[in-house]
Amino acid sequence: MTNTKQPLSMDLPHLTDSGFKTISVIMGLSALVILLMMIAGLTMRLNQAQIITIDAALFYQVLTAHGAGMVGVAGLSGAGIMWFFLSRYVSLSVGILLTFLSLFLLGVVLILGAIFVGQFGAAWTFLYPLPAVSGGAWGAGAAACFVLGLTSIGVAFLLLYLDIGVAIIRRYGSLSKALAWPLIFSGSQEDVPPPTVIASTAVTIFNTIGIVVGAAVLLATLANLYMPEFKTDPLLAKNMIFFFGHVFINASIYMSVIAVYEIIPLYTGRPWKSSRVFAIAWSAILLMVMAVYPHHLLQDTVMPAWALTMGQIISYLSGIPIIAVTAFSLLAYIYRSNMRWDLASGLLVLSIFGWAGGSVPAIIDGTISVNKVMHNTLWVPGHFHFYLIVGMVAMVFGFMAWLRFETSSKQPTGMDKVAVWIYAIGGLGVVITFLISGALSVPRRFAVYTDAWTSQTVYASGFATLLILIVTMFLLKFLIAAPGWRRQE
Amino acid sequence: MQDFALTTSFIVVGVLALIFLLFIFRSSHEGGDAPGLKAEGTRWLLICAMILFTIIATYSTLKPWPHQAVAGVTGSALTVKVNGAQWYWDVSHDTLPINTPILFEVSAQDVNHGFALYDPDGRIVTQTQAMPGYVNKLLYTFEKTGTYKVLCLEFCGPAHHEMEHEFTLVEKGDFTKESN
Ligand code: HEM
Ligand SMILES: [Cu+2]
Repeated sequence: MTNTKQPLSMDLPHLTDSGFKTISVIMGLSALVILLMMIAGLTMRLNQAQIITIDAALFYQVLTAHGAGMVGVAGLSGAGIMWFFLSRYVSLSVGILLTFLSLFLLGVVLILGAIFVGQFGAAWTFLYPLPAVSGGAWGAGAAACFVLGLTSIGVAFLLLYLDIGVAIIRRYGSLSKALAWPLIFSGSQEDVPPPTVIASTAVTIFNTIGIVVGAAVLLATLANLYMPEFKTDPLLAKNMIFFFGHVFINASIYMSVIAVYEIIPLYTGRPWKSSRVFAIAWSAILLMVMAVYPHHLLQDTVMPAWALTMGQIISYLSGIPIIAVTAFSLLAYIYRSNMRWDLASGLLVLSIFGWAGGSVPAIIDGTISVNKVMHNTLWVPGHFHFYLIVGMVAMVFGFMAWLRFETSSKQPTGMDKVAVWIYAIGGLGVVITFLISGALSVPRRFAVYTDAWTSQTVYASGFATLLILIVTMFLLKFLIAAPGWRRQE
Repeated sequence: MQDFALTTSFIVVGVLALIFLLFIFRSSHEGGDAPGLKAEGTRWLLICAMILFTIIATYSTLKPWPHQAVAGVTGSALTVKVNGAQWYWDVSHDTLPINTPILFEVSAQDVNHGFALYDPDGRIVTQTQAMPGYVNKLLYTFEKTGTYKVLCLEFCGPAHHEMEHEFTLVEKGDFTKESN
């Protein structure tokens, strides 16, 4: 690599031109879907504001598309980021990456067809047995299409994780070594894997488990569509769906945070270290991300008390790796580092604030007695949009901005710094209006609002518009820079 | 409760934002070393504080167990059977007394629904899930007379938002007169 004019470049020994291009396509597509789905989100807010009126059935279809689209693309872009940086350390197959992308796109087509042709609108969580019991709104075919679409995306991920898992084992010997267990348990400094490898290993394990559980409940749903006498226990299905959903959406953040581990050191000149605390945090995440899911079922009083207690306690403890490990390290690394502030570094630092900040209302809602009055109000979209918009999506655009600086000779402009602030204000505005509405008991997933509920919706629409404008700019800048790109050998 | 959650969130997130801003402004100073042992000490302090918070908050919010009906504290409660279906509520009583523990036995006929009680001011006072094949028990003692609304808080199809029911809450004395 002779790209010496850029202080921000990094060695990417295994990354071929085709691998690089595929990642660029993945990121560009993700950003485009994020933009379109944000417009869908604005449409829902405008409808709730009674500024525009859309038919309730269509509202729920848009809701389903927004949820499935955003969650899917969070996974896609997270996988893109992880693949890109992991390819520094292990050799990954571009063929598999392309197969992954194709299966993913097949899933998207099936899901879009199910929703907008077949009128499927059971929300992305497809809570059993709603897909089969639509009250006449959609048919079994549409529901099957949706289920197969999600399954196709699931298979895409399983394939990718298989390749990643094998590559990691080839290089580090075993998954436990790649999780730095020798460092954790005996302090061994020998061949300690870098943060990216530790994170990728943990995500590969827990998201594989999550997707397998998801696939099982998807197949049960599919069977129920065509053979109504084939029934699944609704409580079991609910547990499996929330286990899968929780693990999958969290995996997208845990994959994307790799961009922070890799890019911020280029700005601060201080490498992100695989310390013992870091390794312990990731092994804890591996367990906690799976064990915490009962916090989605805190109002199912038939659930065993130990499961709900576990959900509450682990919700609290989950804050530790985010706040005391990731956010704390980030602040320590940037402190007096004389780092440069531009679109990439700005968005990446913002993203850790968004992730840590979003965990606060989430943790509060993880308390059974609070959850009793907040569950399924707009408080819930409030906290997850916090760590998805201000956190996860900021990581995605931060990574894309860095990719742009890294590969072209373009220097960031003063406008870029302002753009970070605009993004933060737009994102926080969307989030805070959700949270306030939630505290006012406005239910989530309601197509039609009473007048008393509309107080926040107009502000929300304004902030959403701001966010959409700035994201349009991020995407355009990326697309304009992209054609001239190639890895310089 | 809702106001407490909102205020606490704003305060904690606000403090977090201030800390971030402080470090962002300090980031442009030159000459610092990479974070050292002192930072690690602070980190462990923070971790211990968060563990301590977990222990205290868990103990103080789970004892007594918040789902009281499940914990067996039903006493002389009045039982109300609730069954959710697309898209209506089938409820055994429409008029209920205040200051009397009410035990809601909540189930569903077709798909998952959510049984949430809104007070006359439009705030949720309590809720539980309504699930086919299961009975979730919810104990609540109303304090205000007037009209309480039931809204469905689990998405159940295109008319989900229309699934409403009303309870009229009356003084204890009026209730016994009526049911006699
Ligand atoms: C301009 C930005 C955005 C706006 C205005 C917006 C708006 C909305 C609205 C109005 C809802 C439905 C709330 C309700 O229950 O009534 C929603 C749900 C949701 N949003 Fe967003 N959103 C935005 C960005 C995002 C992003 C970036 C993500 C993820 C990466 C995301 C993920 C979701 C998910 C998973 C749901 C839940 C869907 C469901 O309830 O089934 N949103 N959003
Ligand atoms: Cu409903």
